[in-house]
Amino acid sequence: MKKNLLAMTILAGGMMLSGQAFAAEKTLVYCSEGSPEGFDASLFTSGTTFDAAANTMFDGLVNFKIGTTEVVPGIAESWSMSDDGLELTFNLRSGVKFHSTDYFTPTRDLNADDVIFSFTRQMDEDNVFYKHNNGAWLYFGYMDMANLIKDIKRVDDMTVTFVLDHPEAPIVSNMAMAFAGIQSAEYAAQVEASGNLDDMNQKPIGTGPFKFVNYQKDAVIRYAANADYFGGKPNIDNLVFSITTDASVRFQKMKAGECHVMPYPAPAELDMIKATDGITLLQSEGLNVGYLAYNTEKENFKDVKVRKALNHAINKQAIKDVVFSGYATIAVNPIPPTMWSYSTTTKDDEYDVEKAKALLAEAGLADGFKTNIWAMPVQRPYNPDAKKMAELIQADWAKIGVEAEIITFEWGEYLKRSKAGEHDTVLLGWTGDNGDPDNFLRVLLGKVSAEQGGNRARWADPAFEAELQAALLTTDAAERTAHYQKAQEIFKAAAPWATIAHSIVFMPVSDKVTGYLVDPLGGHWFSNVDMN
Amino acid sequence: MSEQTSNSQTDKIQSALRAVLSSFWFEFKQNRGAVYGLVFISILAFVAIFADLVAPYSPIEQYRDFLKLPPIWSEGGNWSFIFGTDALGRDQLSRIIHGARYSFYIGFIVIFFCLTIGIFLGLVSAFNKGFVDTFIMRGMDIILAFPSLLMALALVAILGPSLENAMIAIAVVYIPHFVRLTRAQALSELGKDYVSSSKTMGASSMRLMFVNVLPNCMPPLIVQATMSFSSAILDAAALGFLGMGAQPPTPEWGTMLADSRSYIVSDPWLMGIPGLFILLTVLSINLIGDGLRDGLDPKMKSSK
Amino acid sequence: MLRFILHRLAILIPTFFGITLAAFTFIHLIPGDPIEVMAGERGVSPEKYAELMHAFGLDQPLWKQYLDYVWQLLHGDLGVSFVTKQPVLDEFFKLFPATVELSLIALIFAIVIGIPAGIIAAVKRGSIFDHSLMTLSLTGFSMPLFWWALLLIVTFSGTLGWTPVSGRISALYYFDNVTGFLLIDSWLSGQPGAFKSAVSHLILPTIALGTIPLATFARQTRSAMLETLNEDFIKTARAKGLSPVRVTVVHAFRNALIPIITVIGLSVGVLLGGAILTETIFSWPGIGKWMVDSIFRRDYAVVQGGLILIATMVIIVNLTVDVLYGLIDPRIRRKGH
Repeated sequence: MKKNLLAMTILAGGMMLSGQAFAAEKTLVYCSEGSPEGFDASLFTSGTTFDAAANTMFDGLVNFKIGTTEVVPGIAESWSMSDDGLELTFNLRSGVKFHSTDYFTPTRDLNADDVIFSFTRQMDEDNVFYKHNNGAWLYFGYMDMANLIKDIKRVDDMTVTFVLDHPEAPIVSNMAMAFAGIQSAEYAAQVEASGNLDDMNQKPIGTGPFKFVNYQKDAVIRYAANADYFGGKPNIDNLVFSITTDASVRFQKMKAGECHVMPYPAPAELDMIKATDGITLLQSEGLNVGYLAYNTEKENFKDVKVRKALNHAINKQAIKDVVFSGYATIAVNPIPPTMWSYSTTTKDDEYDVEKAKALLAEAGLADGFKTNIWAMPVQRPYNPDAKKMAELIQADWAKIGVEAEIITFEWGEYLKRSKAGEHDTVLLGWTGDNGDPDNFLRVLLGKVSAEQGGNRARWADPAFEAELQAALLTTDAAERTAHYQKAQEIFKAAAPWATIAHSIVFMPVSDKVTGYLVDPLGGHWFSNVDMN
Repeated sequence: MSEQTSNSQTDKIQSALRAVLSSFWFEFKQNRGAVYGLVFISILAFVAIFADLVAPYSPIEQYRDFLKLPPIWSEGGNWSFIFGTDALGRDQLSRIIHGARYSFYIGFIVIFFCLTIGIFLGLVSAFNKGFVDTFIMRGMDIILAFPSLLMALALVAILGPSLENAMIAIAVVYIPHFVRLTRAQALSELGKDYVSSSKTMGASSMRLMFVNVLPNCMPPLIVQATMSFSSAILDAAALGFLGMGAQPPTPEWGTMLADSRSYIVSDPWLMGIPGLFILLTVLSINLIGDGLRDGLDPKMKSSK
Repeated sequence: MLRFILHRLAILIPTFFGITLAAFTFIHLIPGDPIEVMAGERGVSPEKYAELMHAFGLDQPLWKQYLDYVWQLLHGDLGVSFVTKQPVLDEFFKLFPATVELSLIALIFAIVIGIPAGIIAAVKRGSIFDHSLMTLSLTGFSMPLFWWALLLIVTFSGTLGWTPVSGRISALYYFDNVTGFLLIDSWLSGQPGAFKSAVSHLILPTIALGTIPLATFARQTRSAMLETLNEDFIKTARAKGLSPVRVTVVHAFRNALIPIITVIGLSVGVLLGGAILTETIFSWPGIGKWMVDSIFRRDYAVVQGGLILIATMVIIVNLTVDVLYGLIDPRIRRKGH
């Protein structure tokens, strides 16, 4: 007991002193949810890494306006698409400076060489950096950029043209994504000369609002404000990521004043966080969807009546209350309501046990059948507890005589096997990359995706696919909207999924922090944040 | 001749057994903690065996109108759910009662594997000095070089997360202790007169192993088994806690704890109750273990 | 003595190869595909998949992968993490000091409290102190570690707000890592409050991790002391009129040392095992947490390298304990193993 008292005194003293030491500078501590895999965002896929690398230290040719999915000028001041949709030209901003640090001092401002380098390293198999990283530029691959970009032309020092293989409307949005951040060709040359190629990934140099100071593995990442940032020097002087993997612990730290902003609060603690003095709970509708996909190649699920019956049997309200603690929007369509082209005319399959039984009887399965529900072993933004969700669905289906076994695998195995179509029904979800409906509908329900397995319902409907393809060929927003809304009607009638929920993104933020905006794409940004 | 020997030996063993048992019970009784432990475990065993009759509800039935109900001693408790309900509205008391079954199940299965495999390898090792012995013992050294929880974690990762695989993994990590103990005991027995005399009388080495040497190795093995019983429950719970043990909706206590981890601040009793039961069960078994040690091997006596 | 040490070392060599083989086998039996985990929901095209499998050497026959691995190992190369693309050995040395710091402090905590408590309990055998100590230590011994750690956090950090919740030091302090041990570095840095912050972050993890060894030490010390206190030479010493403190501490305790050193030696494995849970719960950036994370991320290279490094450490500690026995009790030296 005495020991604890002593510790308390020591602690109290420590806290007071620490406050004084940094009073002069504004230091914002962000309790991040995990360790970054590295600092070259093009190599990785996790939001955690994007926050620690792209969102703090890099800019794309274009950026997303923070808090929205609107594309705004970044390194490029303006851009234009040729009439045939095959040439995309960017005019670069002048006077953009790369970071000066103790490991690199730039001798020139950003120019077309940097832009070209940033992309060729991800597509040219002879590039030193391509080889060094074994070509593992995963997002470049996901967005199918290698097949889309035929050539990158240097028009002059400040103008770059991308020659495309075929017209594809969402490409400008892609340029705002983390993998398309602009690296310094000059720094790359220095790194190549030093022979230590991994420095690109360990000692990053970007143009963004913060520059890299140091990373203590699995503990702390430190950044300093970039006084030369073209968007103006950030209001805070120091940015610290304090890595804290457990959600409850993050909240405890916030309560203790050890950090100012935290992501991913535990749904069960939201009410408590709301009630805590000195903490404001910001929220925004997430750009995501959680779903249960029926394997339409399996005997029982070929019949749309069975799929509809199971949809009617699921009590989504209960899932929302239990799994999301009430903080979610019940999903009707495969895209979230905040996305443009969301259809408001589709009707959800309401919870109706009798109707479900009747539909099953019509399908000749009045006595029910045996099946399985695959539940993910990990927490994802669109589904904080898949096992619990599966248990609820299991109990719901039991009421119409459908006996489901819950199956789970290790995450990699889960993805692989569900891709191969081994499941009857599988829980999964998606978080948007660039705010374009194509990034949901074609990736998750498209025909190519059904062949490759990313479409877990293995559902390929020609009418649906035709709408998606038509929408790709035009940049006219109204026309694209019409195609996507039609696609949603087709989807809802065929019910390849039980659409479950769109989660709400919550950000507990200390009252000391002003100007924080919640990003619907799930990123975390600090360039426009201030402290008082 | 040999039949006669065996008859008289059986008699001897029986009377020795009787004497051992009565002196054992006398010593065991002296240890008050052990008696308390035995009482708790007996009640728990009774409840576990008759779980279907004793538990007020099914452990997996979800009462969706009663989510996260606190236990009766807290404000807002409800007499229909004495220990409250979990996040899915399942009765905690019923889950604890059914969960007790899993704890015994884990303990017994692990001990069974440890004793059979451990004794077998230990005796083989003791009776075959040389290559076989070295091979077995080095193998055990290798297993022991990995911290047990880490090794169990890696094994479950290989086998896939489930209660059965967690038990196998735990048994594998415990076996070396049994092998070493059996071997050491057997070696010291082998040096004794009665063994060399049975050898000269032409007893086969099988017979020697199982009839003469093994019974004399048993007391320390029983104590070790009791201790392993309780560690197995703890380790299975730890694996469950890391998501590598029993899978929901199984009401295994460690898994229940892991399930309730996100409610640690908002609804602490969800985590408190299963944790307390793990503690009490493990404590009781360890108390019994102490008592057994006193009773079986007065030399090793610790608490009197 | 030298022969004894050499003999023990000779035994270690096959054990070491056994460990590498075991670690290698484990890792390659684990289902799940590191490349699928890397790709997540988005998946990866079959061509890219093949390219990556080749790049990581996963398309080679197993025996060849193993031989290559051992060959690298003999050159001090443990491979490169699949996730961070950093050498496994570099990562290990970055995180190792954190684990050593926590384990050492927990060990000291357990020794400093456990051994004197055990001695007192043995001397005052049958007293209330003895009974309560034995009950408490058995309770500590039976404690589910993760539950205990969470209880500590909820009580001392959550409800009372006395201690920080997790991590090694407040994120506000920034200084050079000279030794990697924050207690020393924070003190060297001279920053006001840094050392105190490091100490306060250590309190709860130390208690959580130290509880089980503490209970074990107290029990073991007590029973070892009881045994020696009964022996003739102690009775003689008492009869000679030596002071009771001198008899207990100098004569009895020295003779009780062997079993005590044994449990301390054995507790290294226990501490490393406990570190897995403690570090995970307290977000302590050490190798325990690193291993658990890597198992879940299917980072083969890290799990494999980490298992080998940890196991090697354990056998080295065991060897040291063996040698210590030899020094304390010459009979063991002759007996061998």
